[in-house]
Amino acid sequence: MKKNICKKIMAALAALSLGAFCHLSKAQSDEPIPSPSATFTVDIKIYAFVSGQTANTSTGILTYQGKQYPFTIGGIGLGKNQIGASHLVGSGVVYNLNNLDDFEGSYDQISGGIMAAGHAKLISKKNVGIHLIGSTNGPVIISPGGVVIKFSK
Amino acid sequence: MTSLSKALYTVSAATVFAFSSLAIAQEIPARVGVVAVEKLGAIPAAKKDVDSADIAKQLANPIANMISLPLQYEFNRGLGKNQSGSEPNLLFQPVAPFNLGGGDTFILRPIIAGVREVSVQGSNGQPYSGYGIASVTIESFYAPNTNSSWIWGIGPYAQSPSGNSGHFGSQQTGAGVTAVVLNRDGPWTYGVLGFQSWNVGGNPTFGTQNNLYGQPFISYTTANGLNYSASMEAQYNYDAHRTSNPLYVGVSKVLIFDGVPLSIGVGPMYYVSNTPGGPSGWGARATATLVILE
Repeated sequence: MKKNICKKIMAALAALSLGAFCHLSKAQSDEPIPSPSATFTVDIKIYAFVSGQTANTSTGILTYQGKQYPFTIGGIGLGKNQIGASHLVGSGVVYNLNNLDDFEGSYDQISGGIMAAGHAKLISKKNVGIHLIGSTNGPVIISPGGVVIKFSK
Repeated sequence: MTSLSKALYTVSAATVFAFSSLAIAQEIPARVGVVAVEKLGAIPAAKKDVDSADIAKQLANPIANMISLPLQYEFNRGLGKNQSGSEPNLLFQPVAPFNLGGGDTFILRPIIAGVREVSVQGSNGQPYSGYGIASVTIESFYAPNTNSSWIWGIGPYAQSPSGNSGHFGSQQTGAGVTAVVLNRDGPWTYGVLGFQSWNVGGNPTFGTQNNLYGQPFISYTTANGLNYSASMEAQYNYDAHRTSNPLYVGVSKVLIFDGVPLSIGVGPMYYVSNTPGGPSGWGARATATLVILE
């Protein structure tokens, strides 16, 4: 008798947990892909002099809710001990941008890589996501501290 | 316990574990932005897979993407027989790199020197003032891909005679070999550039082109972009048995003008030794280097 009760409890528990597992799995797979909040284009030139000095000139245009906002990107270099210059031209989309001001800030790369894959996915501390697709004629390395986006004055 | 019971226990344990894992995962605040960029698939990636050959190609030679146009103003004094003359000069020394493939580079560096002499007493005792093109020098380097922070290059060297007057240097043509080696070590850059030149013809009255030149240099770049540098530019003339040896220390900074980087530098120099009639004592130098991205 005791064994039968135990079996029934185990069977009920198994059924319950299986159902919960399936429900959660389905919920996860059905999570919709958010639609882009904005789009942008960038043109970045990176210089590393023999002396060790570096320079980065960037122009970006964010298109958000039908309006365009110029911005700059910092934190991109040629890599350690490189000398020369690179030119990166790219475009992309922005996700989860609910407030224009949230676009400014520091972004960390979470996957991809401009050189390795031709694109990079970045996320800011304000949960704004960026997918940048671009091409370059030389090395382009996102610094360990991430890139910093600021609106141009 | 029956086999059915064992199976139920296993399923229960597995699903409870899975449920618990998902529940823990759910407890971590979901980052909507992360989910968005991780899930996005509407935009095709430019290249889906890592192409190591392409990366190597991109890394191979960024030098070849950049042409620099340095313009250097230098003020020297203590010239002439009585060492009372002065000599402002302007050096235009563009650096044009060419990609040879595989990361190798050929660097062409012509140097055009315009000189103004003010009250420089000649060997005849008469002071001279005037200006002209002193010489055209061509330095060139074949720089192989070293795959390290050390870079070296070697190539032919040539210098034209400096006009008919003899006031602006040797009237001989020089030819030889030049070489450079440098290392980038964090904020430090150091190395040496040199050449050996031989006379290949011309009038030796105003000096010869039998020279040995050595320029050790070192620089340090701070986090805020300031660069401090020091160099010695020793040139020994085999015929005069004398060395002209100015020491230079300077500071420079890269400024961005309308999206174009420009390095501005300035500093004093001091001749610890000089050739007869050549510059001596204190001088000064200012440089402006414009960079063009190909």
